[in-house]
Amino acid sequence: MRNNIILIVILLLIINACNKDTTVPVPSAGPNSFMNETYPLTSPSRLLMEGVYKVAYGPDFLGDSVILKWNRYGLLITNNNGKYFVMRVGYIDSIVFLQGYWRDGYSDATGLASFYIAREEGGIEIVTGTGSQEIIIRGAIGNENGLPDKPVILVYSRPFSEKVKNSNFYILAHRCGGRTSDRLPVSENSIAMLNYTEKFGSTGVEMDVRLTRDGIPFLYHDPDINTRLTKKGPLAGPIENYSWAQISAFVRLIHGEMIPTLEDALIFTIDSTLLRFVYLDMKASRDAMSAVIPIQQQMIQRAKDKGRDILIVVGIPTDDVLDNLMTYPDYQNIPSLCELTVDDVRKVNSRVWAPRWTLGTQNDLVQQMHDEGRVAVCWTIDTPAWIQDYVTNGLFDGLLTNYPYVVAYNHYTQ
Amino acid sequence: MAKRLISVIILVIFFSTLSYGQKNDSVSKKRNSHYSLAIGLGWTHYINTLEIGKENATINSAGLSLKFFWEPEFRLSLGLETGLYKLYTVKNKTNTDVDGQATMSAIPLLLTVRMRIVDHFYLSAGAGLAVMFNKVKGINATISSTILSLSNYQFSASYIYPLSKHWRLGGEFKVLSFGKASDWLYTLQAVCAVRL
Repeated sequence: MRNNIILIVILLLIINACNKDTTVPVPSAGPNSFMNETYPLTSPSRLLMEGVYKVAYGPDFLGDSVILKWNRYGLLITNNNGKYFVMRVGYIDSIVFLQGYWRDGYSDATGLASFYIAREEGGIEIVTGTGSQEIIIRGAIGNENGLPDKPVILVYSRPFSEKVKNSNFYILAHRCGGRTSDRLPVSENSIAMLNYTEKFGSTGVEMDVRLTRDGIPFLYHDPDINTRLTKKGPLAGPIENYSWAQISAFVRLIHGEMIPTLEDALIFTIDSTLLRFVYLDMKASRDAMSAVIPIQQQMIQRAKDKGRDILIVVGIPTDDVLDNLMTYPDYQNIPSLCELTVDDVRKVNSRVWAPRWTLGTQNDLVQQMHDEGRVAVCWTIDTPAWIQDYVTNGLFDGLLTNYPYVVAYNHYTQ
Repeated sequence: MAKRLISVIILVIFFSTLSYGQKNDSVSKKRNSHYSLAIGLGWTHYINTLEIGKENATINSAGLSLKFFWEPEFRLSLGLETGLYKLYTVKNKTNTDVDGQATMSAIPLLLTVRMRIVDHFYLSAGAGLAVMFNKVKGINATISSTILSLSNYQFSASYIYPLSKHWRLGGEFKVLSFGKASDWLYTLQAVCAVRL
């Protein structure tokens, strides 16, 4: 009998261990948060808040300093080891309130965060958008949806350097802005992710392009339909076997979004985000250039018509793709990103050279690319120490990463 | 949850009877070994875990099984099992302008251990490969994909009554899991077996 009980316990443990949990829930103060009663800050006020802050008091995991950087949604606070805050900001009576959540990008740790800037500690200056930046942010953070109970004090240390302010550095986020495997609340390679990624500090994205059986470019990373990326549905096997009508009828991404066509994703990026760089990573199992390039050209024109400064480049990850591109008329005028050698970059006149990060900073070659008027970015770099090294010692114009907030910290603290 | 419960119950019964069987086999009888062949046909029900198209899925269909056993001992038999099972057919109702459906079928190939618990009553468990067939038709094109599923299991209980020295007839209840897409089905089949 005892053996049977042990057996049952072991079996239940095994079965539960196989449970799939795809998301770390985003803590929320709820729909009745007092932030709804606050007034939004103006642009000068926002700029006054941006900069590097010293962590004067707080849990060890916050480290010594953080940066505050505004984005389309609100305020990003992030440090060197992957802890970031997504905050709403508003004011009442010269007191500035910050409310949102924090998350550890390298684990599942998360919690609510609630801060304020008292009127005499920088609140008046921020609300009026003038004066000094002697700002002290006080508040607390919690665990998951628990009330914030760990005190935090951030003290304004310095503004971003002139080098940072004048740079055109690209913080490039993988898979339209974030991976499903990082248990984010929206799916990778979706329009929802394009809409979300600026919260992480991203200024550009990489998107994975595949081709349907009937020649429609769409976004999806893996070669097959699987429950890692999609909700369980009636289709299986290689996704490129199916027509667009079949995919749109029977496949939904893991958080329920439709798989986007490349065209829809680019229209959204141009019309609805402030992203400045789109890297079309050609994952298609057959030649997709003839389908992708016309869309790229249309979208470049669309961006131009709307006054958007955005670089949309077709990726060249392999020699086969390079050869396919070279069969295309006027291929040297097609904006492309070449992951191969600098000689290949010159051969097709790529706008961007993108070597693998494991090859090192390669400053001499990067400088050659700069001298030729090209951009150099590096992929895919995720470890905080390496990110710090590449931002500090490298000459790259951008880094592709799964942790854009870590790149943001290292870039903005230069 | 139901599928997990079923699998836990079947496993517990199986392992319990295994230990019971070992005790009762301590007085062994020497017998000649035999081979047997069994064919089963019946109703199959897919445990609907689809998240897309769940409400438009047809989950009941006919299933066929084929088993070959080596019966060297009084209680334990070892064999190979295969079959053909349709898991589901899902009709597209997302876009009313197009008509189409997707079907998933599977052919398992399992190594199976069977034990006689009491007269004519058997429990069995098996593990092995499965080839899964996905067919989508009607929306612009018909497309078939074949997927290899590596971790698949079956647990079954059967009652087989001997009609003669060689022929037997009975029924079997079986749960099958297909690991590739975490699919489960159960099937109730009439079984005809012949001892070779």
